[in-house]
Amino acid sequence: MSGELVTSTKKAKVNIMKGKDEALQKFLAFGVLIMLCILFGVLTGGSFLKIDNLLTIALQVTPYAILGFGLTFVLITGGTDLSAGSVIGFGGIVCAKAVTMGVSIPVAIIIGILAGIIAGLINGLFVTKLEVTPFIATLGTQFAFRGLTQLVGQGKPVSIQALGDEKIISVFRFIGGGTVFGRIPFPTIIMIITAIVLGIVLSKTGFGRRLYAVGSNEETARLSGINVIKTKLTAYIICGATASMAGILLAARLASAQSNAGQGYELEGIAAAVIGGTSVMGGEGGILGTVIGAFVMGVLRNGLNLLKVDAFVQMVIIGTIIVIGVWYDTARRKKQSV
Amino acid sequence: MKKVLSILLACILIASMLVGCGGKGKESETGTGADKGGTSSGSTTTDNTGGGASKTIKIALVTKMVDSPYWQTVKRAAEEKAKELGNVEITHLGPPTEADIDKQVQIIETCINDDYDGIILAACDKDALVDPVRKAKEAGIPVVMIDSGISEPVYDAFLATNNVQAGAECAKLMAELIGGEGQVAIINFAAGTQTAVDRETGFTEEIKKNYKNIEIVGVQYCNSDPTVAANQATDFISAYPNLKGIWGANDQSAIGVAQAVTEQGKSDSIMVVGFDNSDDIKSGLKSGVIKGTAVQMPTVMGSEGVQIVVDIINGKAPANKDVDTGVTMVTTENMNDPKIQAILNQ
Repeated sequence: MSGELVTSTKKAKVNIMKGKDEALQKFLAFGVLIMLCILFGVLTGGSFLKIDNLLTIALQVTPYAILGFGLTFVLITGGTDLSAGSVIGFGGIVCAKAVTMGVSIPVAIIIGILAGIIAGLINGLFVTKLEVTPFIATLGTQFAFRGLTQLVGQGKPVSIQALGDEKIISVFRFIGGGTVFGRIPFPTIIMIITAIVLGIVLSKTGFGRRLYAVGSNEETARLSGINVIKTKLTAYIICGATASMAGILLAARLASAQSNAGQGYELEGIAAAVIGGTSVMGGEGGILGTVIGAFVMGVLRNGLNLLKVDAFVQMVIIGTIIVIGVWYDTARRKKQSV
Repeated sequence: MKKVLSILLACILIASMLVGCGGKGKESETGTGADKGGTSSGSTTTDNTGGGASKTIKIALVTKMVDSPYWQTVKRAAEEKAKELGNVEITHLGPPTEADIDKQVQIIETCINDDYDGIILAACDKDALVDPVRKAKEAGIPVVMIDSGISEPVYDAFLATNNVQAGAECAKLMAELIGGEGQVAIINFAAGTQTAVDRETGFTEEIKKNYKNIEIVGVQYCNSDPTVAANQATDFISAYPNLKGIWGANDQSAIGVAQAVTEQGKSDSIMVVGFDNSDDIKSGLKSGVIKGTAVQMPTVMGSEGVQIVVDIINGKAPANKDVDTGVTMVTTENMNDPKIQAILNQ
């Protein structure tokens, strides 16, 4: 009894320390974001800071951010999901296929998200029940889900445009790139709502706390009675669901689901999470940080484009920023463990 | 543990491969037919309306697959040419999927034994098919490559799209659309892939050489991801308020560009030129956002392939070993022309 009390106070202490550090990283990422905005604003003579351009960035980062949310959950458990990019393609193409087969739009969207949930469940089962390293398990399913996507599309895009039904096309275009309240992109609204919901799940619920506990120390979590398998499984399912959501938004914007959609996006999502303070080692992270991280990447891309920086130089710059982000994370952890 | 892990991984990979191949294999089962020596026969067309006395020329058309619309188009064009020439018989052969390289090799070997007079081949693999082609040549059978060539020039002729030339055609159309002056951006589909490099080179060289008043403001690479292309195009539009045109160097790039231009409400002021053809490209042309696209010509590969084989058999060597089958520029202006419609729906 008293032993339990001691460990829990110890844990609480560690949590507070972690909280401080995490807040620092978030603050740092936010600071970097603001600095980048000011820098690009000055360098582009103000055109970067125009409302239209900022809203464009919001639309551009939306799929990466939504994917990043799910990845944040998985990363917190100490896992990873390399198949998330393939699940983007899978969710998008399943949804589009359903529409071309005459299914109503809301039902098609639900089917698409279900496809992602099933994909996440499969990943989760590999990782938990079969105890395959997440890196390897999701590397395998990355191929498998991409194959399934290609199968559904027969190697070609599933075009909603080609249906020729103006009503359906305009609904999809609205979901994927329409604007509300004047000029705010609709997908960005979805992203904000998802962020709020998942943010609350992560920080205010028992599940959220269990997630951090599992990621910090799986053995301790198990011993203190947390159902580790269920917790991890849920994280992968959430990741699958967010990936398919991102996929449906991508397909909707073009009114056409590409069978290669989302290729490489998992790394963008992981980068967004890591820049925002989520640790690839597990146990730390948050949704707000991932939003900031996604915006750092989006602002960099857009700003460098506006500054007319060569495409290859951009790759070098963005890659370097990611490495610096991860380096900072590692350095901070080292300091913490000392 | 490690063992279990590696076995599991292997299982996943094999399973995913099986899944990947399974569907397609089924679809082109007709193509495998009697598996004797791996030969698969699609269909045979004979036409003897020509001089009854002359011997029928048997030509094997060996494509990467049998059932895909693309190869069916090639086959139709070859059969039409055969009909036109008279005493030519086309047999369409091919493996069930593009990945069945061994099957295609076997098919060529069987063709050599089956006394075909000529072979038209789209190679599944540029290295694996070198030997079979060499054997066929040694057996005195002319081989004309179409679409996808092989790494050694042991064949008689190679018919394919010259992407440099095709890129230049896109540049000409773009120049015409924007009135010969102004800023143009390029969204290419990959950095460092030969096809992509060729198209970009063709486009930029043509602009530099013949259109001094057009400035290419930049190139971005979208990895054939239309969403990325749309983002890049949007940024080009923000960075260059006077931008007059954007070229998307393949179908995915072009539909991404079209999307960005639509979203920004600039479909009247920014000209979009694409490359290749797909359902989405067609809708883009119909709605007028995409002003034109370069469509490759499988029909030319089919009919010219037959012509060249017949010429070789009649003792006339092809003038050029590498033949550009060209592209047709389909534009919003000409797209309703029945001839162009046929190309668009080929």
